[in-house]
Parts: sequence; structure tokens; C-alpha cells
Amino acid sequence: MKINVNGKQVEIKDDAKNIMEALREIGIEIPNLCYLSETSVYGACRMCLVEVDGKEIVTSCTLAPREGMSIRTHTPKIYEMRKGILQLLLASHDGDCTTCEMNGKCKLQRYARDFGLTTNRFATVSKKTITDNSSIIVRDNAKCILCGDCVRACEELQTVSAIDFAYRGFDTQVVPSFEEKIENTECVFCGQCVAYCPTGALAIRNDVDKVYKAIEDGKYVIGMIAPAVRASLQEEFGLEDDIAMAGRMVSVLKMIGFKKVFDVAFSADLVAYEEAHEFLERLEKNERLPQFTSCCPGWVKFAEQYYPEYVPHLSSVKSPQMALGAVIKKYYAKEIGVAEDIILVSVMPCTAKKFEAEREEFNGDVDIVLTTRELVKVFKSTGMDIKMVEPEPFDRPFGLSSQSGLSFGKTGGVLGSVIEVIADKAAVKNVNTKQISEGTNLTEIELENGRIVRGIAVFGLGNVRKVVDKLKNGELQADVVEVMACNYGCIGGGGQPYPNDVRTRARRASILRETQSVDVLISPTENFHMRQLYEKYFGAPLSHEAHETLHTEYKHRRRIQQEEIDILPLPTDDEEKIEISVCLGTSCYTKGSYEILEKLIALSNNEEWAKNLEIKGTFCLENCGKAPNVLINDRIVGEATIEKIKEVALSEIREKQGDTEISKSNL
Amino acid sequence: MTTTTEKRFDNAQEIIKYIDALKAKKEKKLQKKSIYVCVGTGCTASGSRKVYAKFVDVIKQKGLDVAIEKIDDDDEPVKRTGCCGLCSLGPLVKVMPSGITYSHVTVDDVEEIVEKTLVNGESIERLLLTDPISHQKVERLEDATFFKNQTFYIMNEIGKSECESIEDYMARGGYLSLAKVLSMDRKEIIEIIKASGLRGRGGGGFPTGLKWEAAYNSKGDIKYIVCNADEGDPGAFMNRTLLERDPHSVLEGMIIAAYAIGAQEGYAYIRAEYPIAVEMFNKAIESAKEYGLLGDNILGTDFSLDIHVKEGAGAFVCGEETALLSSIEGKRGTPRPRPPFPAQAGLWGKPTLINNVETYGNVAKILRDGVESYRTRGVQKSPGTKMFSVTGPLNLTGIIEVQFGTTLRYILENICGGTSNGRRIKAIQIGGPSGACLPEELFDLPLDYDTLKSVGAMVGSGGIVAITDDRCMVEVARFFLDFTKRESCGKCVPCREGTMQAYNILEKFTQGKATYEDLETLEYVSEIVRTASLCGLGKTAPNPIVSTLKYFKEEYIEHIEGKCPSGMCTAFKKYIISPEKCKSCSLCARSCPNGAISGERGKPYVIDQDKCVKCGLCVTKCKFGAIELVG
Amino acid sequence: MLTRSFDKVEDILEKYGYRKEMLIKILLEIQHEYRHIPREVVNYIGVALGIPPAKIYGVITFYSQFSLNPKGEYTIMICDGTACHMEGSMNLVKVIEEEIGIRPGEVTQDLKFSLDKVGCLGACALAPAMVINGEVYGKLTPDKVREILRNIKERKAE
Repeated sequence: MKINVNGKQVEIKDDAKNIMEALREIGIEIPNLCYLSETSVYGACRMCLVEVDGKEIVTSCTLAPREGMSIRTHTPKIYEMRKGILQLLLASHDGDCTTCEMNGKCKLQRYARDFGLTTNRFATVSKKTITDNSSIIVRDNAKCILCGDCVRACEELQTVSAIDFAYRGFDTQVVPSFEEKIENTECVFCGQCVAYCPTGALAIRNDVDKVYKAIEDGKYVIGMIAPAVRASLQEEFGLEDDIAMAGRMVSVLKMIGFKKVFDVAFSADLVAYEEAHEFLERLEKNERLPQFTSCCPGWVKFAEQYYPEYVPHLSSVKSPQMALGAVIKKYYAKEIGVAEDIILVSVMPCTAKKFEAEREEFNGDVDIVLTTRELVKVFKSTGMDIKMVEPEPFDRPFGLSSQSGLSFGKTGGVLGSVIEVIADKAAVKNVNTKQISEGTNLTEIELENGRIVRGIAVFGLGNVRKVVDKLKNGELQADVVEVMACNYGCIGGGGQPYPNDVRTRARRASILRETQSVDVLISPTENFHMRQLYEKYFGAPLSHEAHETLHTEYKHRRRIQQEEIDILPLPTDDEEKIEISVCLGTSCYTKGSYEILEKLIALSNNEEWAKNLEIKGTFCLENCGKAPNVLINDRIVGEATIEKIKEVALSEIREKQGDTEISKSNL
Repeated sequence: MTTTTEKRFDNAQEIIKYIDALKAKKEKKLQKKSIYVCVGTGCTASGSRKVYAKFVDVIKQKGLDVAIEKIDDDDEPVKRTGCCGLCSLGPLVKVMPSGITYSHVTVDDVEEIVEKTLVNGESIERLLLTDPISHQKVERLEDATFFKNQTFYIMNEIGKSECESIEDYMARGGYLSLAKVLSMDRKEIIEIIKASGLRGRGGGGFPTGLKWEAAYNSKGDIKYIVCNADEGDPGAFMNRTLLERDPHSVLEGMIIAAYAIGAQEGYAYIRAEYPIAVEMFNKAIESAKEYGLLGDNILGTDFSLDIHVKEGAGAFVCGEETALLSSIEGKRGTPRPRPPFPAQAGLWGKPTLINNVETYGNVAKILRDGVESYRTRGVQKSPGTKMFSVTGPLNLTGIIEVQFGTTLRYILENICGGTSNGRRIKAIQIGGPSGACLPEELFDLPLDYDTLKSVGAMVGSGGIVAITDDRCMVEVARFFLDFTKRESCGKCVPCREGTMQAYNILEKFTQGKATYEDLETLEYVSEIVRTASLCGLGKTAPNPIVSTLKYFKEEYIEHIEGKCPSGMCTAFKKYIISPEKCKSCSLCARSCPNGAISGERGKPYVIDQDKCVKCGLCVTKCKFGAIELVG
Repeated sequence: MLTRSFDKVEDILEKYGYRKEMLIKILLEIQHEYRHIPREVVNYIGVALGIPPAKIYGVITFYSQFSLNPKGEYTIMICDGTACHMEGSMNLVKVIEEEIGIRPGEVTQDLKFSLDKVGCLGACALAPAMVINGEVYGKLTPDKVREILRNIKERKAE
């Protein structure tokens, strides 16, 4: 299609979504503050105004290309409008740029500079400030320009909607429900909101100081770096072709006081190896299929919250971060004899990895998680020219990795690695991969014995939700599913440098591909250091020791943290009390949870053994498919009846008291 | 009339016959003795429901009067009638068949009205309303200048209609159009609407026929029809009036429109603040269903339509059509960028036709009486009539209907009877909170879409506020910006931030702190908000500023120079205590909330001007008239 | 007590068929029932309707009919529409404050009265006007307002 842009005839793509995207292709990035190609068009910042056919001024993000149309992108009037809009934004914006996380990266700051704003003709107006420093994702609404990128990323890409707009007019704010702290919501910490935030309103908790403190305190600081980090660092420092970036990273970390630096790609080989065996075992027994990967902590929390029925299907193998953490703390520490003093710092492209490291299940094996953004800060603050830093190899034994391990950084990598391992174990005749829907690839692995193993790799939680729902209703079949919460996998993680849009992610994927292509090892099975680990400690995959160290277990998690309602709080001894929470949510209510509650109260009043039942009403255990649900000392009893509850409660009492007498006499 | 019997019609001929019979019945009925009490919001506030109850009592108590009980088949001898728009005279009571109408009726008057007027047909002089223009007592509402000088087209039958009754509506020719169009080609209906020149009454004045055509042409199995009754203008209630007074006329218009574009489902979005309108419209839907005029297989055809009432929950911006759609979907009412237009992708992404209440109110009549007849009112490019809500210090205020092309002066003087406070009207504000302020020299311009646009104003939803010369135009602008600022949805930058900035500057003006630079910034920000905002609310929000800057700039300049010419902005004034009159009783000092007054016994008290918040409390407390306002 | 109140929420949800698009109507009824939108109810209907609580919170805070804090038994809405404003409705706010000690947006400590400033009540011809629990009072003067409020207080005392 031919259109006229600023007096010149240009050719644009016929299927361009709008003028904004069409002109981007031909080298004109129309200023914008709320446009995300990946989500619906929002049209709120009004920066992308263009003049059409010499009359109307409209936003280019909503303007459909039309053959022969005439566009002016930068008239004096438009220039004035943009300047005005910027000044309006800045008048109510916390302009303390030097202390802002996004200083130098901020889109608003950049435009203010480009438009030469040295003064603001509008008076400063202050907004109600809402801040949340309680968890990994840090919010400071004084810097928010209400572009809605985070809201749309959370809702449309990830289908979580932990945050949304609240209030209206000048009072509008982006907040979780009731301005709750983000950690008490259904947020899965994927950090996509941070990834897309053009200003410093959303940031990641900065843990850099903790690292320096550990070094200062003389701890034995060990670093480990995830595959996706190197690609974005290459890009960040303008060293796209520099395949030695990983080595330079090792070098810098060593210089500032790290004792050892390992490669998480090593651990990726380990996880792929273990997980492939777990999968083959399930395949053989035909149980808990499809198997879902569990190396993405955002996805794990998502599954725990929205798909409790699939929690047992998650691979029980820890993620590469936590597996390596366990190996280092359990074995390596002994080998080098510094058990107590090790501080393990992992560098990840991911915000959810911080959350993962803090999960109870992992006993703090990984002490500090830095995101790529934080690592960039560390590097920049040293003043070293990274180009001139002499690369150094990763430390042994956890420095070796195969191409497969490195590929964990992008979509399809985990599945690919598992397939490599399978190919080593069973004869594979044919592997065929095709895209079946947005962000979703299906790989069919034909084994020699004729059996076809179907693997799906899906990224983006919105796509994931579609795939899982289809698996649930039988529209789709799969044996193994690789899930990555962020679009394009870890390279698009929430901890990656800004900008972190589709174009950047595609570039990172190709950088990573090139980096990994120089690796001489292809399959995880070729990683002999990994195999040595088996020889030394685990024996074989899925052995008892391997389970002890490399496996974990996940559980159903409630989306909404909420107070319970005391119904029958008795003055009981804490030691003896049995907590029973009856769900009074919609599904359970309609399936008779209220009657159960009444029966329970009667039971507690009438039967001696039941006098120590503390009965509570709770609200939605989010296991609605098996309503009515009752929670007995953290054990969820689905499709509950009063008999079932009695049985479980009695067994709890038995367990607690170790006394079988009571239960016998009462049964 | 009763709706208990089965009255479902399954063909058009049958209902046309039935309507003819009802017409004859209504003619007869109007000759019978009956009493109509207005129970609209205005009259209710003045106690009309008590009056209504008293009538029921008295009539029952008197045992009475065979004639009254025979007024209708209904048990209720007293009829509820819709709002006639003259709320300031309420409660209004009309006695038929004489048509004698009384204003400001109280419970104590009821017995007398029954005895004298209902039974004997005499009028009661003291209760008759005085025509504020001719200063004569008038017996019938229709004879008052206020009504005589209006042009009624959609507001029919003052005080003669039973707004809740579908049969009453039918007796007035209602649903004839629906019966007629169901056998017509859809395109033909759209052509008629196009030919009529009907323009959207919600604000912009977009040609209704074109909107219908676009919705008709949009492809899709599912289409929706929406009635916009989210009238949130402060100071206007045309839509409420129409919905309360003649809900079926709006409903019929919606059903016809749905048929024309091929919609199967519709929504009427009505403010929750209008409970009576909500109730009336729900009732209208119910009775239309009973009569086979709505629901499955309307009048035996294969056209089916369901209409629901959706209540707004208090957000002015929802009057903007795309915001309204979001609200119907149960979401925050924030506007969406257009394109796509609702006619292409509206409710749940389906083609949707949205028209204002008043627009729908015209449809059935145009189709019934023809384009020719419709075009006899109004002007070439703005045919027909428009309802306006007139407020301000005028002798008569309320809802009026005039043909397009009527001048403002005619409305102010010949309908509303001029000012009530003896002041000169220096401006009118027209078109709702984002309308413009026009000076007296423009009062002779004909009111129509295009003329108003040419002077930077708009018809808007039709609010007219008369502003007398004791009011400050800067304060007027500040008031409206306070409204739009509060009602801005907060989505787009120019409106969210710009209205706030504009408001703050205007406040500086009214507080006497503004500079010439502020004046420039005010113009600058108005231009940004007007040009760059996402939706109509933002694009029009600066109108009160732009128009006052255009026509009343000298008032702004005087504020900068330290004076509010109307004397309205108290910041320019100060309270002083006259030393001669002060008896140093200390009452003022003790009542001052800010401790600004001090003094000692025997000496006159003084006000510390820096501390004074100008609440004026001291003036009301002083027994000696020693405190006065100067400046 | 709370279980009983979820009963009411259930009734309301059921009445509207657990339909997402009925959220605003459901909230209006909940507001009517509890005189505010309680937090636990938001979470409850969020799960029942499949709408994330953050979205519901966004809706509640967008529309002025909803309130997160309980309204008084008598809700006073004072009109500040154009006509009422011009007729001095803001003076009446002062009178109300003197009489019951609350400003717009506040509730008396005994939860008897709450006061809100609203856009337009559609009673412009009766300006200045206010609505108390659905009843419109027009052509108000400071004395009339005092009298109305005192009457309500007495009604309560009886």
C-alpha cells in the first residue's frame, strides 16, 4: 500500500495494524507512551497524534492505513500538543530522576529531553502517593503516568489481573484490590508489569546491597548466572556479537569479590536429565500426564492458584536455580569445607526467581537473587569497560553446559533438552515441530516402537491458560508441556533491561541462539560434569538421593489471602486443637457447605472427642470443582461430607497425640 | 387501565384495530370526570404524593360519586400523570374534563377541589396559576404563555396522559408505527429516518439515519441496540422527564430501530439516580411484552427482541457512548478509542446502535406522521423540536420543548417570563457542563446545531442556564471545570491532567491570585485539552473557559487587576467593623471560627484580614449592623 | 453473622444468574443492603463471578454510587448541580455541618447520617435541593434544613 508521509510517497505493509506500526517499519517511531504491540490499543497518552489529509488530528495508534492517505507526523501544532502533554504529565510526576530506578531508561525522561523541556509552564500538582515496598515488585505511583501498560500486560498477556485502575479522574491509581500489598494478591511475580513500565513506577526490589554486605562480611560468595542473562547483557552493552560475554561477566564478578561463579546452564542440563527420566517413568506408568515443567516459578504459582488439579502433574524436579542451590549447599559446601559461610547469589532474568528463592520448600538454598537489571547496575557502577574485561571461564565443576542447557533461556529450550535426553534413552525416529496457536508449539516425537510422544511448548500465561483449558476439556492432547510465563521465555523475563518489547525479545533470542551454537556439547547427556555428579552422589536419576536433593513438591495455593471467620472458637489448648475451616464460597455454598457447618457445630457440642475442634468459616479454597471443600489442619478435603470430615479429623488427632485409644473408642 | 387480561397480539392488523378502538375510548374518557396529580420527582418533592393520597381518601370517604368511580375501569380514580416540566409550581393537579389546573396544591386544598371543581366544575381562583408573562390567572395549563409559546412534538398531551399505561399510549396512536414498519423493508425505514433529517439529541447532532445505516451495514449475527439515558448534566433532566412521562414512546423507537438494523437485544442505560424513570421503563417493557410488542416473535413476525434496563452507578462520563458500552459490560466506564465505532464493534465487540432517549422519542412519530409533517418544525438542517431544561433566576423554569430555530431571547422572555430577581441576564450557558457561555448579543441567534457550533457552542443535551449580571463569569467557568475535572474518567492525559490544571488556574482567578501569564496558560491548556483528548467529554471540557474568554475576557482581566466586577468572588472583598457602630460586645469575636476578630472592652473591635476566611458569620451575629462587606 | 450476610449476597448473585455483566447492578444491590461494599463481599463475588478482585475494586471506586465505608442510616445527598450551586447549595453544606457535624463524604459516629455532595438530582426547578433516603427536599433554606434534620433526629429518638 502506498501512502504519503510528510510529503514523501512511501510503501507500507498492507496488513499493518495501524499507522503507528506501519511507520515504525519505515523508520519513524511516532512518540508514544501507552502503545504496546502485544496488547489491545489503549489510546490514552495522546502523544502519537498525526495529521491526516491536511485536516484532522488523530492518534496514529488507532488510525487504520488507507491507500493514498496523506500523513504528517510532525507539524508545529502536533509538536506543541506533544510538548503540552509532556508538561501536563510532568506537572504531577515525581521528577526526582536521580533517585529513580529508571533514570536514563525512562521514556518520559527521554521525551522531556528530546522536546527540550527545561521548564514547565504548568504548576506542580501533587497526587496521592501509593507505594508498596513490601515485596519483589516495588510500586511508586508518584511516578506512574497511568499509561496502563502494566494493567494490560497483567490482564491480557498473563490473565492474572492482580492490578487494575482504581478511582477516576485525577485520582486514578493503578493498584491491587483495596490497595493491598502485591504479595498478598494473586500476582505470580512474573514481572511483566515491570518489564513494560515506561517510567520508574514499577521496579524490582534492589538486592545489590545485600551482595556487597556479604562480601564485606567475608562470606564465601558464590555466583551463578542464568542463560538468558548473557544475551540481554550483550545487547545492553552493545556487544551483540560478543560470544565471550559470559566470560566477561565471570571476570567482573570475581574482581568485585565473588569466590566462584557457576553457570546455571549446567544445572539446566541436570534438571533436563532428571526431568526426562521422571517423564519417561510417568509415561511408562501412564500416570500424572501430561507432565508440566516446573522450572518457571511464575508458572508454578499460577498453576498452584488456578489449576490445583494439575499441581501433581508438575515435574517434581526443582528449577535449575534451586537444584544448583541444593547441590552447592549440600555437597559442594562440604567439598570445599565452608558450609556455614556460603552466600549463594544467582543472577536471573526473572523477578519470580526472587520469589522462588524465598519459598519455604527450598530452605533458603539460594540466598540472594539479582535480576539482569541489577547486574547491569553492578557492572556500570564499577566503571569498568566491559569490552576490555578479559573473559574468564566459569568455575568447575558447575561451569560446563550443553547447547540444551543454554537454550533454557528461551521458549522451547526445556522441552528440547528433555527430548535430547529421551533420544539418548529411547530410539527416536522422527521429531516434528509446528506452531499450533499463538505462543504455542507442538512437537511430535515418534519413537522407534511407533509410539508418538506429544510435547507442547507454550509461553505467556494467557496462552498457557488457553492450552491448559484445552487439555482439561480434551480438545488438546499432550504428554509433556513446557511452560514459560513470559513471552518468548526467560529472555523476556521481568528482570530484563528496558526496553523489553517484542522486537527486543526476538533480538535476544537470536543472540542466545548464536551464543549457544558455539557450544560443542549438544545434549545434556554429554555434560560429563553433570554425569559425575550422578556418579558421586545420586547414583541414578530418580534415586532416593536424587529425590532428596533435586525434587520438591508444590501445593494448592489460594489466590486471595483473606481473614477467616471464627464460628466456633473454643478456649482450647493450642496443642490439642484441630482447625476445621469450612468453605462458604459460592460453589461450596450451593453444594451444602452451610449444612456441613451446622452438623459440625452439632458434632462439637455433642461428642466428647470433638470438643477441641476449632471451627471457622473460610472463603473460597479455590478448589471449586470439588465442592464442598473443608480444610482440616491444612489438609484440603474435597467433596466433603460430615463422615469424611470426621474420619480425617480423627486421624489428625491420632497423629497429633500418638494415642490410638481415643480414636478407637470413638469410632 | 388493566393489564391483567391476556392481550397478546400476534398480528399487526389486529392491533391497529384495537388501537382505533382505544382512541375512541380515550376521547370519551377525557370527557369524564377525573383528577390527575403529577407525581414526578419535582412535584413529589413538593409533597404531591401526599396530595395524591388525600385525593384517594377523600373520594373514597365521600362514598362518592358515581361519576368519579366510573372515570375508568381501574380501581384508581386518581391518575398519575407524567411531569409537565413546570416543577417549580408543583404539586400540580389537573381536573378533567374541564382541564382546570392548580398549582402549589396542598393536602388542605384537596377537599375543596373535589367539591368545587370535580363535582361542580367551578374553578378555585386562588389555586389557579398566574401567568408570569401576562400576569393573568389561567385556568388551563395549555393557556399559560409558558406552554402556548412552546412547540410540542415529542412531549405530547400535557397532563392528559397516563404515563404508565400502555393502552393510554396506544390510544394516542402509540405502537401504530411499529405495527406498520414490521412489514416494511428495513432499508426503507432507514431511508425515511435519513430523509427526516433527524439528528442525535445526545449532544453532537450526528444524523441519526446515517448511524442506523452504518449499524445496518455492519456484518454480524448478533447486533445490539442501546438507549443512552445517562443524563448526568448538572442542571438538566430532559431525559428523565421523557422517560417518566412517556416511556413507551422511547421504547417504541428502540424496537423500531432494533428491527431496522437487525438487533435482537437491547439495553436502556438509565442513571440509578433516576429511580422513577427506571421503574417506569421497566414497567413499559413488561407491558409491551404482554401485548406481544416485545419479546419473541413480535406481532407474529419472526422478529424477536429483548430489552433490559441497565442502571448507571454515578459517572457522568458514561454518557459518552463508548464509556457507556464499557459500563453496560459491567466495567469501569472509560471511553474506548474510535475507530472502531460502536456501529462496527460496540457491546462485546458486536455492531451496536446507540441513540439518546430523545432521539428514540422522535422515531415512532416520524414514521407515523411522515417526514413532511416532521419537517414542518425546525429549520432545514436541524428539523424538528428539542427539549431544553431551563434553569436560573427566571420566572418559570423547567423542561421546555421548542422547535429548532427558536431564539434564546424568545425562550428567556416569551416562555420563561424573564428574570425573577430584576437583574439583567448577561449570559446563558448552554449545552451542559461542557457547553459554552453566550453573551446577550447572541441571544437572537436561532438555536440549531450548526448556528450554535459557529459561535463555539453546542446544543449538547439541552441544558440552558440563565446567568444574571450579579454572577461572575470566571466563577461560572470554575464551577463547570470543577465538575468536568471531577467527572473526568482519568484515562487520557489531556483531560485528566489538563482539566486539573485549568481548574487550579481558574481558582487562582477567583481567589485574586492570577497573573497575565496564567491567562495565557489557561488558553494554552484549553487548546491542548480540546484538541488532544480521547473522548467528547475532554474535547468539550474547555468550552466554558474558551467561551468566557471569548465573550467575557474583560472579567478575567479585572480579576487580575484586583476586582471581581460582579462582586461574587469574596476573595476580593473584606469585612470591616465600623468603629462608630461597634459597641464592643465581643459577640463577633466569639463567633469567629478562625479567631480573626479581636478587641477589648470599650474599644471598637477589628478584623485581622489575613486570618479572615470571609465566612460572613460575624455579620449574622452582630446585633448592631456594624460589620459590612466592602470591596 | 457473616455467614448470614453471605446468604444475602448469594441471593443477589442468584437473582442475576452469576452473570459477569451484571456486576454493577449486583454491587448496587449490595451497596443498598450493607450501605457500603464490604471487602469480604468483593472477594466473594470475585470468585463467584470469575472477576479478579482488582477489577471489581476498580469498578467500585469508579462509580460514585458505591462506597467502601458504611453510609449512614440516613444518607443525605446535597445537590451541587448548576442550579443548586447558583442558589447557594454550599451554604447549606455549612448548615448541615453545624447541625450534625459532618462534611461531604463523612458519616456521623453513630452511623446515623452520612453526607454526600452530588452532581444533579434532577430537581433543578426546586433548587437548592437535597435527597434524604430517596426523598427529595426542595427550595431549601438554612432554617428548613435545620428543621428537616431535627425532625429526623427526633423521629429516631421516639
